[in-house]
Amino acid sequence: MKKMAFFFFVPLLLTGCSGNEKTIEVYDVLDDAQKRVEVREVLDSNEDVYSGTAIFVDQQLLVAVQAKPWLDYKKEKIEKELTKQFEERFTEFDVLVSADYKLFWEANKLMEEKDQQKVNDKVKKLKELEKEET
Amino acid sequence: MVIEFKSKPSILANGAVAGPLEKKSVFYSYFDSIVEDERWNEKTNEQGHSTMILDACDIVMKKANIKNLDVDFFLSGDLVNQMTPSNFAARELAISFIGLFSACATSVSSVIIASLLTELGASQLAIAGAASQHNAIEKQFRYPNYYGAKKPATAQWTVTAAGYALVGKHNPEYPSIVAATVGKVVDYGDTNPFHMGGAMAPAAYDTIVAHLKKRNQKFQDYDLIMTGDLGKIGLKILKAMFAQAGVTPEELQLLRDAGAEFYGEDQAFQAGASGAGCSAAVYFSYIIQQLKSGRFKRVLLCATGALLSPLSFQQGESIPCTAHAIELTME
Amino acid sequence: MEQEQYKNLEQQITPPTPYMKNALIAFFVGGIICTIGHAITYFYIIFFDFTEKTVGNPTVSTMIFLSMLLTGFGLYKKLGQFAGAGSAVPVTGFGNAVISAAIEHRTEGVVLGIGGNIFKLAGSVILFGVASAFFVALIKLILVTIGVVQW
Repeated sequence: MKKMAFFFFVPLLLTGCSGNEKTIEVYDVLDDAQKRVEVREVLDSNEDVYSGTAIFVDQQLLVAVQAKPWLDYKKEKIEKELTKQFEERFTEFDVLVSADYKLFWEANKLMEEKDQQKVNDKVKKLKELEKEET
Repeated sequence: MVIEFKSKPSILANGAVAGPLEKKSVFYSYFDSIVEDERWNEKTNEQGHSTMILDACDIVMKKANIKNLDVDFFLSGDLVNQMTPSNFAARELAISFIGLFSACATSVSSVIIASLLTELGASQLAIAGAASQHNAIEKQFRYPNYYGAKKPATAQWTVTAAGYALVGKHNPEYPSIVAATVGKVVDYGDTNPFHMGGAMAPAAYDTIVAHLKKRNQKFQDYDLIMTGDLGKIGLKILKAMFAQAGVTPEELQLLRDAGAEFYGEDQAFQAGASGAGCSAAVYFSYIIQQLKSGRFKRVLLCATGALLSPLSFQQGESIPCTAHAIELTME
Repeated sequence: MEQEQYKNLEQQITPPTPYMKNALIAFFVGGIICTIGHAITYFYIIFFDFTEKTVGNPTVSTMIFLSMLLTGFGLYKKLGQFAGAGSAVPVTGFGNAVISAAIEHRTEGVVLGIGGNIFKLAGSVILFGVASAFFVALIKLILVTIGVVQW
């Protein structure tokens, strides 16, 4: 039931989030403060993004962002730019940046997850989903 | 062309049937029967259309207490391609048959032919009338029935109804046909198939004026002048035409339209009813009954028809229209 | 009465088409239909493994399925009379055009009736849709070749 309520409020949430404050969340098992700052820096500097979630797990970095309303058509460009920036900063990680809502939704759900293995599996699965075309 | 019938053929019996939606009609109580299934319990709309015609003819014959073998001629028309519903009904009736197409004016043109045959002495009894079935006609002329297209306020609703009359030798106890006018085909260049009233009004005007002139009559000579299916807007246009020609508002009160009144003020039907069955069902139920009861002494029935096909208006042709009139009296 | 005169008279009496009102109703009803479509999109994204890229197909099929039910129960016709372009332009209107033609011509048999008439109304949408897609792709190809935009 709670899920259903969420599902109806999603459109409201999306419009409600277009304020000035960006919601940026980072999942990192090692809890490295430096990483947090850097992710925040990159996302803050991008004006087309209003929200982002980054997951560091097992040499992989998944960044799920949401483009501002009306900027949907720029998604691919945003993804490209951010991928470049993240790859420069986190050379040792395999980076995937996505503006897809599915990845954003799943990434946010992973924030609460304690089991690292599960997060790892999920991220791999999401990467595969992202590749699907139809 | 105005015809004056010396023998004054009479309408000895009349029958009108209608579909379920026609319960909303203000003329509902005058119809002889209402069938709950708009397909008359047949498989297709077209078969239902045919059965509806048979149904109406059966009622006519039952009322006159005759059998199909007693009837000399069957004159009928409808709006489906090649008039198959009428043809198939004629097959079942096994009466000498002429199919007639004057679009929605067939209700009157068939009675004119029947009167001529009676006057000639060729016919003792003839059944004449017309019918239309909403679904079959809409399929033929417009979109599929379940297609959600917006119809403008000028659009009219094809009725599911049939009206037939038994025309025989003069009998003073029944309404008699004293004169008729076969209308010309009038075309004022209208091309909008969703505004038939506007296209047909000039035809009705032309026929009514011709009839009154030849018969040397005025509006006041009638208790009622009723057009077929001009609809609310078409009737307004016709009234405006007469008003310009100097007919007074009091006289215009005598001018009514079956299509405009058929569904009352129900907005769902836009400008009102149309279809060959509209005028036929109203004329051969309400009007005949009013004449018999003596409320009306003399009426002019002027059924209008738009002679278009889906092909013709897609090719950009304008809509030619016609109107036929009969003058009925009750002694 | 002359034709010219009659046209004037007819125009005076015929009520004008309320374009503004029609457009507003179409805007809102079309918007509501699209919002429902969007809700279904989020439903598939959240509860199933669809991404924004892949969610189009299930959403469209669901919308067409709903439109099929409404068409069959005769409700889409009523909606169409109220909303006009608002219910005709979204994909549900396309579904309605196809399905209503199929129902209408069911009596003429499956092959010649349904098969021959199902795209009676929607056929032109398909034709002009494909043709315009071709020309848009052609324009983009030229622009990419010149170097103005990228794929």
